[in-house]
Amino acid sequence: MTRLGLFISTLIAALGLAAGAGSATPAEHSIVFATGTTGSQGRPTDVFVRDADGTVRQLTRTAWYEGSPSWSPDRTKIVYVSARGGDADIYVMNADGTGQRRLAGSKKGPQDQYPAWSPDGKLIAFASNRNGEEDIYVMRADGTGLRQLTKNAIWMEDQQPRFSPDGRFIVFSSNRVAFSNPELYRMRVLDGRGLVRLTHWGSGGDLSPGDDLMGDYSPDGKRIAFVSDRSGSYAVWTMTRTGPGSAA
Amino acid sequence: MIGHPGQNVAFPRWSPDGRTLLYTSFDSSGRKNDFRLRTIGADGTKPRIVRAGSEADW
Repeated sequence: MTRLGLFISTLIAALGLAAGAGSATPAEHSIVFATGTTGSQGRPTDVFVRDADGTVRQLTRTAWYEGSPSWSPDRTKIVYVSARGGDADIYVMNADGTGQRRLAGSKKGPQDQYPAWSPDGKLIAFASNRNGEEDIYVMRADGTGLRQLTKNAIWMEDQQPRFSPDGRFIVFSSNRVAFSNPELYRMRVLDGRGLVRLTHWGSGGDLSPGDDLMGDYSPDGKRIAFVSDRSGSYAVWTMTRTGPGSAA
Repeated sequence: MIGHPGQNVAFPRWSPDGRTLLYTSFDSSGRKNDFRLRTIGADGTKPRIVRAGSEADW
């Protein structure tokens, strides 16, 4: 298993934790998040909202994984991943947890993951292996108009798409150059072209450090925060939108 | 760089005003269930633990 695979599998296996009390929130906005519990009395991961006053509300309550939530720009809806249908599909619900419905996916088959809303609220990007390999797709926010933006060769994976604030680009991670060393790339939302590799890190060795993944544009579009193991363990780094990282 | 000894981090998200980063930290061995939501100023100041949880967005 690659370092990335180990990292992701550790995340998936351990995504669960007692929903204990936290310290005072520094956030002015509500935070949507996922948590569950493990052990003999454990519960699968569900989606919760922590309001600015510290109140925590549970939005999903199923026997399957519900996670990877993302606010709509107007904060009236949440897109998320649910495994209630037998595999990971893209769902949407209102901010109070009502109106849960599937936008993309099927009862058996592909895994749809990492949904992200476009800044204008009209599109949702996500990663899916519905056509064999893991690629980036976009669809309208109502689930129609599906478009495949990347098309990978065997064993390649494009993951964790996030829109630029102007809605023109998507940053995502891909191991298309070195299987064990995913890097960050940018492409146009319009047609999936204009591919630019943003990070260059790692030797490509199976267990060597070299992962850059989980990019997220700053609200002004000038910087990208991302996760990298270039320091020896996975940490958050930031860089300019076009180039190699500088420390946050 | 924002890291924690003995832990990995994931899912960084900028705050709407761009001043703060929200992220998840967790035990790098995967043996402990210690997923925590944390925030830190974009300049590296004011680190805080928000609560237990993962995969957050704001």
